[in-house]
Amino acid sequence: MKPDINIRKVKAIAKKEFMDNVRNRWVLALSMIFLLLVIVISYFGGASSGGDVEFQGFKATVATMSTLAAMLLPIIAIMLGYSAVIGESENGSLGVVMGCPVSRNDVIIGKFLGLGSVLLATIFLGFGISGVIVGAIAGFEDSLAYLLFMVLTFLFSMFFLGFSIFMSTIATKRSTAIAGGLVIFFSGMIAGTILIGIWVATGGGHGSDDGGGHAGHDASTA
Amino acid sequence: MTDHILQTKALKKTFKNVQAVKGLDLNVEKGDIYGFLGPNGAGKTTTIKMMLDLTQPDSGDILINGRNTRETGVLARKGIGYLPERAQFYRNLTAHQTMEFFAELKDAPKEECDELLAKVGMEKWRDEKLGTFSKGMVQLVGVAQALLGSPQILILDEPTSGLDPRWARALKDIMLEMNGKGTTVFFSSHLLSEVQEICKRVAILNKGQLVIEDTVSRVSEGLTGKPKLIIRVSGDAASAVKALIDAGFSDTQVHGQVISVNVDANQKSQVMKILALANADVEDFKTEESSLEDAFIKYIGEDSTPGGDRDEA
Repeated sequence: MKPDINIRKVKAIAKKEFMDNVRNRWVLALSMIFLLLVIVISYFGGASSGGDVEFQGFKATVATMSTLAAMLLPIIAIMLGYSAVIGESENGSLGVVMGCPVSRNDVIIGKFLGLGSVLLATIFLGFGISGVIVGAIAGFEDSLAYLLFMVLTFLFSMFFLGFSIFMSTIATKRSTAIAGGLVIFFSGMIAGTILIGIWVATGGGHGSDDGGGHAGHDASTA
Repeated sequence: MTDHILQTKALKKTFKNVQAVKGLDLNVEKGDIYGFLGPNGAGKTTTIKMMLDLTQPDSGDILINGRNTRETGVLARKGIGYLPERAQFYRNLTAHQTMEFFAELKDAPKEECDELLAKVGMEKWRDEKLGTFSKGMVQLVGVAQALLGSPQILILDEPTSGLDPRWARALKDIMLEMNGKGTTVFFSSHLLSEVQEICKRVAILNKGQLVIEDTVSRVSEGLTGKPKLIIRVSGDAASAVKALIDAGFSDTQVHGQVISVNVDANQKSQVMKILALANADVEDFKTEESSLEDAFIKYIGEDSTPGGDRDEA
């Protein structure tokens, strides 16, 4: 069977998904939450570990942010993905799209890329703007680590996006799709935590390299 | 070669234990305006979805331009304009963005977007988001979208539902206009009047089975064969009826002073003579041709139980 993919159709679908979802109020709200969160954590983050209340550099900010991002982004990804297919199937718009000369592959890939761009925009808007602010105050040392953190966060959330779109294609109801998404979210969290637990218990360090620690968390969850 | 543009052959579909479509053969000819009639739950939507490969048939074939859609795949849908029943689109896209999106999917020229929005009377709302539209307005954008790329075949599922009478009229005119330009129009409806009004051919579906497929006039004729003469008389209606029945007009009914009798066209004067002899003065009379509605009720019977159109879960 030949792969039935038409790049132009994929692009059209991706563009539509982006335009339709980027104006979604939730996505905008969450970008703002990220923005504020980074600034607040950068400022107060040190206090929780007994340090001073002042703007910290990227390294310390990332250390605190990684756990939060690991919780929040999957939620956004699942929110975007869960209704991508079943939602449109329920309201009839998928029928119109599938009535056009497009293949199922075009639609799924287009949706994945389009919603992925929404995630990318959310992460780079929320983390990017606040990153520039933190950098301007506390200095741009380790900004590469911060960038790496953003990229890893993006890849991490793409994993959840893929899964929730998959759930959306196999679900027969919107509610089943979100239930599936949540199961994946929590099992991902639990598996990740257990793996980190094992890693720490078997002599892995947490404080030595926080950027790397986050990457390890990503990989273990994925 | 036949001039059949769209055919189904022994099409079957079962959902769980409900047989939605039971071996359906339809023949839509090039240039038809084809009305697909049936009560709710008859299997109309399921059939249409199978034509567009949105639902896979259990068995049977669909031929578009004589070619089996199993072989043509995605390309089978090229040249088809489709609008599902009660479709919704994307809340955050404007009417124009929605049209552009579908133009890209159908490789249709971009200029058509504005032209077609104007055709359905939506040009004023070109840059408004669909989330703010009424159901009827969304439906009109849906119609405009179906017309993109000058399709050979238009497949519309209950296109006038949700439209007010003025827009339903406009939509029928659009269908006639497109048909005049050579587009074959296939649409489902449970409104007999609109089918009778614009269709050339009609199929009646009931409980997943084809009841009849023929031209509108032959479907209407086929049932009684005789137009109905309705006469209001003054004087003794009862004895007039008795005289008519004695003269061989057995299919005669009376409600008060109104007598209705099924007659052949050339028997009308005979009826009048009998009434005159029976001392019934004719105050008024009219003939009623048998309508598609009579045919419909006759063909599907009185017992059809209502049920929702089944969607693929």
